[in-house]
Amino acid sequence: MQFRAVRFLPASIGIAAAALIAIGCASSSSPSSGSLTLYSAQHEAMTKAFVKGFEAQHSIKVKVRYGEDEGLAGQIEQEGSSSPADVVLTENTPPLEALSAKSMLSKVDSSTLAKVPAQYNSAKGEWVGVAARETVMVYNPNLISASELPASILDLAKSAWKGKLAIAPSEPDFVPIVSAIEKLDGEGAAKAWLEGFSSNAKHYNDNEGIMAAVDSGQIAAGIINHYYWFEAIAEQGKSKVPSKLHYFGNQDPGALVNISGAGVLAGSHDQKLAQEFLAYMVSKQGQVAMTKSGDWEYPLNAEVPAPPGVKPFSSLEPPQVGPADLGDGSAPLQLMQTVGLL
Amino acid sequence: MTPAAASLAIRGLSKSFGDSPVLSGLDLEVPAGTLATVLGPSGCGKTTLLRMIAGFEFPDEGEIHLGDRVLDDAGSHLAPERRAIGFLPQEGALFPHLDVAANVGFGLARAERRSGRVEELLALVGLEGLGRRLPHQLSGGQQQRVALARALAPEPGLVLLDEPFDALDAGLRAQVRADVRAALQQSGATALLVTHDQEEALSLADIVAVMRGGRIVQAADPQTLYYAPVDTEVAAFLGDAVLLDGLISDGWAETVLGTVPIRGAAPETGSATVMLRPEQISLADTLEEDRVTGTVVGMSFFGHDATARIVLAGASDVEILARATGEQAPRVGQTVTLLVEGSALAFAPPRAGEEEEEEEEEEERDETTATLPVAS
Amino acid sequence: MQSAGATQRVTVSPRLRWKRLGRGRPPAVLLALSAAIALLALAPVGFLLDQTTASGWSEVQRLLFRPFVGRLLTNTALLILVGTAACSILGVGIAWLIERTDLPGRRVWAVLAALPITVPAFVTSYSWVSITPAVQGFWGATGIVTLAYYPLVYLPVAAVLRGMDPALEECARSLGYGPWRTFFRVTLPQTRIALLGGMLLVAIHLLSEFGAFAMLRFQTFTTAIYDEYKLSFDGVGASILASVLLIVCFALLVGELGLRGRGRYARVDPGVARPAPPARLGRARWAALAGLFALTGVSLGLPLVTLSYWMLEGASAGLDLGAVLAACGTSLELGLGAAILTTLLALPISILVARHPSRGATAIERATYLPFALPGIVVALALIVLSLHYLPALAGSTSLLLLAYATLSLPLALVATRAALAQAPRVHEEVARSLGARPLVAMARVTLPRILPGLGAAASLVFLATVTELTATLLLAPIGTQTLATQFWAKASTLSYGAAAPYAGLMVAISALPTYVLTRRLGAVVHPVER
Repeated sequence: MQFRAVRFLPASIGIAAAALIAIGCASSSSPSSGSLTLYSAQHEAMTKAFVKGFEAQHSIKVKVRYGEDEGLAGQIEQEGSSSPADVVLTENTPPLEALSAKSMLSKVDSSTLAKVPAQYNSAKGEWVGVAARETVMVYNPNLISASELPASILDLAKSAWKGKLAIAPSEPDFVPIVSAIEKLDGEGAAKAWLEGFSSNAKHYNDNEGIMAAVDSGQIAAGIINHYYWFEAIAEQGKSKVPSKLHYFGNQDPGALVNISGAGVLAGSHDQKLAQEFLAYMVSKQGQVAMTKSGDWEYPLNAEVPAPPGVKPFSSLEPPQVGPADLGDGSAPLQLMQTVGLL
Repeated sequence: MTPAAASLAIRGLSKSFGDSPVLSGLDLEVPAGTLATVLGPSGCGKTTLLRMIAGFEFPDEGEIHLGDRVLDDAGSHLAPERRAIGFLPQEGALFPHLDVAANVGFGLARAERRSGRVEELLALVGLEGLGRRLPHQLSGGQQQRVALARALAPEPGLVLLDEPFDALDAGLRAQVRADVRAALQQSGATALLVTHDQEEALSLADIVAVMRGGRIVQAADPQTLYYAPVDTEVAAFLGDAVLLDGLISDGWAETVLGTVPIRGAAPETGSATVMLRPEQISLADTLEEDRVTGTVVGMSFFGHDATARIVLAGASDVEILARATGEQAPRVGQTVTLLVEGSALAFAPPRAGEEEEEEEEEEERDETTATLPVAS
Repeated sequence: MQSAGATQRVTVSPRLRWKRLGRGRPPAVLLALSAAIALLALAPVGFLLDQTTASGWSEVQRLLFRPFVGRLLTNTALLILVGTAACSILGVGIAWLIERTDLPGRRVWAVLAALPITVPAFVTSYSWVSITPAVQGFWGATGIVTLAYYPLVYLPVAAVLRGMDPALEECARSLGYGPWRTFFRVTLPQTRIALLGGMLLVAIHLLSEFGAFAMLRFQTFTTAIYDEYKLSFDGVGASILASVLLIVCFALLVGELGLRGRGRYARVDPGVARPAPPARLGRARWAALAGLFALTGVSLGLPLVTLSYWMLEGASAGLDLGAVLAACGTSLELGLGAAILTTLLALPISILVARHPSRGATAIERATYLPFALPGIVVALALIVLSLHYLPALAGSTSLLLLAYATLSLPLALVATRAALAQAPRVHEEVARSLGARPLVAMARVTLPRILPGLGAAASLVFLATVTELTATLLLAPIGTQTLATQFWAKASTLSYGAAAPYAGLMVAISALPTYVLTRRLGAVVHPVER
């Protein structure tokens, strides 16, 4: 039996490959008018809520690229003017400050900025605060009694806490805490605290890991943002989540409020649409949609109540550290590298 | 059906692989329609020569002509597929994914494949009816025959065979050899076969070319080569040779075996190396006066004949090889009389200072040629 | 006989004349193509070097000699030493039990012993972690990846043991060597090349494994690189770590070549004249059986049972069938595209190495092995940055993702295509040419039919590697594109085990059977550093 068709095989494979590559090129993300591209570092639940609400209102398709805070900002910087991103939504403010410092964000409409208290917006007006999250300590009541709870986050560096803590150094949420301590108590104190904390703590990849470890009793306590705990209860039920939250309050660095914000890229192809998306996010409908999405972060629009069950925003007693103080996060990163966490 | 057999002419062919020269100025002429053999030890470059004629290697220097076509010269190289030269590699190389008929018909145009030519060729090599078999279902000898039929199918002017009988059992070899020779003769093509087996070369070919050091040392019909070798190495390569020191005068040589007539070209006077074949030395157990005598120190019995090693009385450092028929073979330890029949050849003596015997020298050379890289 | 005056010069086409001037060296087109493909493979390495040198020596020093890197090196060194040793002992032991003893049910065990390689390591880790977090940390991680990767040693060693000539051992026994001594002095050295190759594969897999170690909370270079990326996109820190990783892999490659010596890789001969008589286990067979049962249970049974449990859980909790099917479709498409592209890219290089061997050809081929050792994330990072700078049209497109896949799995395809070409020796093409076929026609009629199964194997290998690829996809997938792997990762890293299960299940379902068939078929030949 001879393979006569064999003659055509190389040619047909070549054509097929060429076709595939051509299709691939064609499907590259080319911005088209009538659609919006969102780079989101936020959780899927919240992002989807915003996207669906906006799409319903404007009949516009929104494409989402998910990522992590710094990663997304870095990618936008690398992509430069050819970046398809129109709007960027982050979990914490340092990446927005970094982009702002590189003049990559457009000024946000003042009407949008006005919907949110000024201290939660960019000082330069280049991004707007969308949601807030409170730093908390989650602990396992079977392993730590109420009397043992620390008054300040700085206490966690003491040797009494050896082996009882969890740390997730690569979590973008952790960096602002270090910044806050640096701002309030100076670099030396921050370094000492980091050294003490990391020697007391076991490493985890992220906040979800810390939550799971505390719930299962592997670890006594860890520092996370409040909404992880509420999400865990909502998903698994109170019986499966024995851990409790401890709020530091008292303007302790451990009571830091992290702001999740959004900005419009200066290189966006549709500035108007992008601004409208921002406006939607801080509007009453947008913020209500957010609180109903299964994400338990605090809405920053004063007209919208917080999700039921969370500690009232006004009672949080956060330290006087604002987004401008937290900067772009490069200093704490270097500190963590020096200490050996990264 | 007789194809236009072409004559092969090679002039000054040279090829080196890296620093090692494999062919150095090789010349060879093969008349049309003859079966020629290139005989040489393993690793001497025979396969390279064949591959160059087929067009798979590029010569560094030299020319190859086939009939009136130029295959290779200083300015051109004809691609293998345009040369119409049949090629039978050492391992047969049948296409394993095609059956016998498809293999044989590979070089034919589609119409020709169906015309019955394939069956003709299979009959030519004695394999009628095996067209549907697959190569791995055939024996070694059958595979070689299919490979030959395949090579002959497009009626090439020249067929090249690379040690085609090497992988076969000894008993099979003779039969396959005869069949291949018959097929080649019937097809009328010019054929060039390379081998290291001198028996094969002598029995098969019209012309034998002895290859050594990258060149053809002597090319002639088998009888000439055997009885008139051009030097002692060729002599020793083609069969057993008895080499003696001798003093030449007037067409006769004084040797330890007595006075022997010299045939062919020889130095006029002086010392020379005298060559005899063992079958020229006859043994008798009657001891006669003033005859050369010796003691048998070893015997090898081959069935059809025997070879005796004899040490001469009076010249204990010389060992002579002689043949005897099986029945009359002397025993070890027996004293015998030696008688030389026929004439001997005389060659220039080895240069002063070279003490090695001819056979040792040739063995050494075999070793060095064996280490030359041979293009696979 | 001819005279000079009557000579007819046959017209030689200019192309032939040009080829002749090359004195038989490989066609320039082939060489150029192969070099271009090798450059693609070297691009990530170049990117790393560029990053490292661009940031200044003091910055490099600071990042290279920080305590974290020391910890990573220790972790990685321990992981490689213990993991490779464990896989070797397990692999050789099982190979010997199955191929050389009278163990009951050998054929079944042979199948079961190879199966763990068909389940991606991060799915195995996910199964274990969902049962108990106690598996996290060094010992748990090493144990789980040993169970996942030991077939990489078992398969080639078993193939060698199967095809080994018993005459060697019989000679040793006749010279007075007892059975254990014979095993260590005669049998094991015969498997040296296969064993070293398998160990190298295990080590490289361990170095570039991401998902499994991330879930098992064990920090290696690869997880650290991903963390660094999370914290700064093109950060020098990530590149430094990747450079160290590259050096370690390079050292492993060189070490393996050195240890192997000048031996050729033993090819399995299925037609061995006389199989070795099996060793009798006697009462030890019960212990062996118990051990094998336990091994299968732990390496295969437990992960699959857990996966099924979570799939049922996830289904009852509500299954987003649309998303699952969409991700499945995307994975299949990407896998197919990568398979075709990579096989095509592998062809010129394999032809170059098989038909025109030379130092240059070997160097080109070896160059393509380097990205195999890099984690997908480094390759992806390099490609993103390079495309942004030089080919913006390509950035963010599926083609770039396909290129990343090709870079990562080129050695896999090369190994299979080279093995296939070895089945079609050059002499067949030469005979075809002597019969009048032009070079390309000869290749198509004679070589191609022989190597098609091998090309299919190459394509399948790449397909399977692509369907389960995670980190490069996370970075390079065009916006909105989700594959089974990325969806699985998104769900598993938020501890939604039930939601992650369908994706894991589909990945296992797609890859299990073909992986098994391929490893069975290629067995000892799936090795990136074959001569």
